Amino acid sequence: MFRLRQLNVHGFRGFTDQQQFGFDKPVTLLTGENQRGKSSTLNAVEWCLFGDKCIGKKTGIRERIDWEVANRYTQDTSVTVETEFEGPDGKYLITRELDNNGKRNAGSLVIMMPDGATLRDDEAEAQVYALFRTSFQDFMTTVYQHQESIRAILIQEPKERNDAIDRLLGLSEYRELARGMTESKIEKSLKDMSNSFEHFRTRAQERIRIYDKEVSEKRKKAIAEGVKEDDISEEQLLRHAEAIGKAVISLASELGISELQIDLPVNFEQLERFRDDAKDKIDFVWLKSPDVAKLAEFEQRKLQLTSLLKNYETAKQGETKAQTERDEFAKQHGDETKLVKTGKAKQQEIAKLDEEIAGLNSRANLVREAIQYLRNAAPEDTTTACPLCGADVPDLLVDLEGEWEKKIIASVGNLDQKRKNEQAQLEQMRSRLRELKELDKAVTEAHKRIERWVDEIASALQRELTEQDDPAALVNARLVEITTESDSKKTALQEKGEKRKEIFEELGKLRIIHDILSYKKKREIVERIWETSEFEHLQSAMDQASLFLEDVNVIKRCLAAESREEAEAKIEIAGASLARYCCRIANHPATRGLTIKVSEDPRTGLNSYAIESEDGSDPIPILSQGGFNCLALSLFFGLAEAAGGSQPFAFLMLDDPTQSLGPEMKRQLVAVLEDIAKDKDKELIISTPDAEFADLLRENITKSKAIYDFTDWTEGNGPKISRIL
Amino acid sequence: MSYKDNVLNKIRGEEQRANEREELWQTIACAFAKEGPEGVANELARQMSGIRKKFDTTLAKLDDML
Amino acid sequence: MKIDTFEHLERIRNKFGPGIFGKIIQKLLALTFSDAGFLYMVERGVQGVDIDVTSPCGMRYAVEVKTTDADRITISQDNIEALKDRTHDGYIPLIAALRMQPFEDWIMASIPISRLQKGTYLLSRLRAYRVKDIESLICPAFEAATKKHSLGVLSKGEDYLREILAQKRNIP
Repeated sequence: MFRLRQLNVHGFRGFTDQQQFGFDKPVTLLTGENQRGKSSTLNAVEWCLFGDKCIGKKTGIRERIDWEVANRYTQDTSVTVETEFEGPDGKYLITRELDNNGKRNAGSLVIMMPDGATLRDDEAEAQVYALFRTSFQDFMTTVYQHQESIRAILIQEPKERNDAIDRLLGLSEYRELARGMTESKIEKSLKDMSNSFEHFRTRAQERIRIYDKEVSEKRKKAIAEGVKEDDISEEQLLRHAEAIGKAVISLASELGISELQIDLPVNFEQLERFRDDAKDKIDFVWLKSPDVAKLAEFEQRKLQLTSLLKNYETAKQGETKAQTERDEFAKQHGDETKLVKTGKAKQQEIAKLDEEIAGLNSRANLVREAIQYLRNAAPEDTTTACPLCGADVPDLLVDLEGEWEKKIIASVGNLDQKRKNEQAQLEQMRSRLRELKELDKAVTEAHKRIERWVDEIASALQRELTEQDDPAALVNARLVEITTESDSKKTALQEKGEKRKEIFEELGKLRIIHDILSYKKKREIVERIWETSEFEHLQSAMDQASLFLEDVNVIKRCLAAESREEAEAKIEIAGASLARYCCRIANHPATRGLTIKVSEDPRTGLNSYAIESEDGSDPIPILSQGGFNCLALSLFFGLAEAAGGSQPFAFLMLDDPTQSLGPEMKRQLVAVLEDIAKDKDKELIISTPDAEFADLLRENITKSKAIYDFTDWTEGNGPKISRIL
Repeated sequence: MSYKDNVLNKIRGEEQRANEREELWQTIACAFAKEGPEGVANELARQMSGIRKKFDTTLAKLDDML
Repeated sequence: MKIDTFEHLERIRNKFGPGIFGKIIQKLLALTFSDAGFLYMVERGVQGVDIDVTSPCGMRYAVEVKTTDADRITISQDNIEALKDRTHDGYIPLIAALRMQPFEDWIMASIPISRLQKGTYLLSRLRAYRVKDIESLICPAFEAATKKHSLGVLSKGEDYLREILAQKRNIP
């Protein structure tokens, strides 16, 4: 058995300068408030022995993820932890160091043997394992009760509690391995592959369905067009193509084109090209045929003459209309001569009226001035004397005023009105004259248009036309001639046209049959995919994936089974001790005869723990947090006790064991520790921030104690520790 | 016996593919020792990814045939 | 299976319904085993394992036949008990699963009896246990058998296949 005698810590976690701890008493207490370095002291022993095995996710301890080994507050990031063990053969000095950049959490290990031999690194690691034969997991379950383990078990969630108990039993590795295997999501990969394959299969099926539908529809169409079922084969198709080729050459010969070449298809793949070629050749021979060319010419001529005739007749209509309008106008309003004569008469009349008005205006001016004079003159001098000759005229002003009003104004007004009327009529005459001239112009233009069309017709008919000729009749006669010739040509071509039509129909049938066979071929290609080597490779890949998944699942099952068996074994070993310790510390009826049963969680395959009281009931609902802690402690003590002689370390380390324990439970725990110290001959190293518990330990543990009081901690100096004897 | 050996014995007790599973277990245990559960997940995902790649390549060729 | 084979089977299923169809498939498979050179073929319509056969090289198989439209099959406790029974007589349990879709084929999966549990099994997972040697014999033979007997089945149903199987048994 190995006893821990000394611990030297430098730069480890919260430690700065070298700190030494002696474990020369049966009981060592580390007391003080939280965050003073007590847990780090115990962790240092662990790190010295196990290096990076006690760090990271694989430990199953959440707090150990990204756990920092080197003190982050100092410049010097080197770490040294030295432990001295007293073994059967003497003193063993184990030193683990971390270099200055603090990167390798494992550190380098050196062990000095009792005989003075020094081993380093891998040799040292091997020697440590050979000496102690203890894994980190075993150390955690039977030597060092971590505060995190207790904390974890206090959680009520079954999954978390199962996790915590696995950890307590040193089975975290199984759990973490299983977790890693689950998180690889290889099952999803296989599912995705299956889905991709299914998608592909569905598309292939859909393709086949489409091809079948096309074949069915085209088959119906082919039969409707007179194709026989026996014709729908590749061999028949090529024969059919050959017949069409010969028919094309024959038609060309009849149409006067010899030496026509057409390449007959020798296999299915050449059919499409042949079809296009045959169609082009038929169109070519037809257009190049002299008869066809002549027929086209006739049609062209007919169109031309028909157009000319139409234009000529339209022009004739236009001329008639213009002439009619002009004649009606002249009839209504008179011709040019009459209009000019009427206009002149009006002008003369207007001149006469102007003279009269002028005359009247002269007298009017006189009368007006006389009136003005008379009105402005002195009444006794001028009212009866004429302002011109001076003769005495009684009531001259009155007379003059009367004349002005009744005669002059009225007469001038009348004359003015007459003049206006005459002027208006003159304007009208002029306007009519202009209109007549326009109508004459329209008639002239209509004549010109007709002349132009007559010239066109003459040119089209290739003859001169005189006034005695009727152009429309001549055009009609020519049209009749052309139609007669054209009909004659058509009749001649009809038979050849029928043959051409037949060839096109045959080509149509060829096309349908070709389409049917093409779709069948495509269908075959899709069907044959299942016989390809690529498909075989695909199946092989899926089989491989399935096998791989199954292998992983089998390993996972073995892992889970092994974990369960180990859990059962350990619990059985801890067995009676577990119940005894739990009952003693908790002192609750629910903890009497307490057992832990392990089974398989059907969902995850991992361990699922059920805690049962003596009477078979589930104590969980009534266990307090303190009760759970007792359970954790009891498991630890039970396993430690069970390990017994096989356990190489003669000490137990407990870190903050009184979480959630009440005063009575603390007293009971102290009593248990007292028994362990006395009866089991185990040295105890206990870290606690709980002052009450510390006092209880001091007062009730009868073995001698060394007390390290962690009174303070600062960044620069690390923990401030004083030893109390 | 370490957990590695315990699980290995169980695997050897299986009726089928003992060799292949033993080899896989060694790989898993090694990955776990180096990088913890993430190492295991990555290693298994990597192996499956290799198979998946072959599958995808072949499926693409079959798609072209359609 | 090829499209034609699928279409034959689909016609049969549409005529007789899924329940009878399953039994027809079982008999067709039994016939297939016989045609493929397997010996001492016993086909059971009711209790016990569906088919017992001995391969040409002497391996004895107890076959549980499953037909499905979906991507999974269900193994019942009765199936497991029946297979367990046969394993005592030296038979190797075999799950013969056919997905009724074009381009899908028989999966012959030999799952160790200790591993077999009642429940649903994805066809993709059965692949891990495929016996390719048996599949390579059975799949083409099943296509041929279906083509040969589909008309007879459509006309007379299960009885037709019973007669054929009876004839096979009478042949020494």
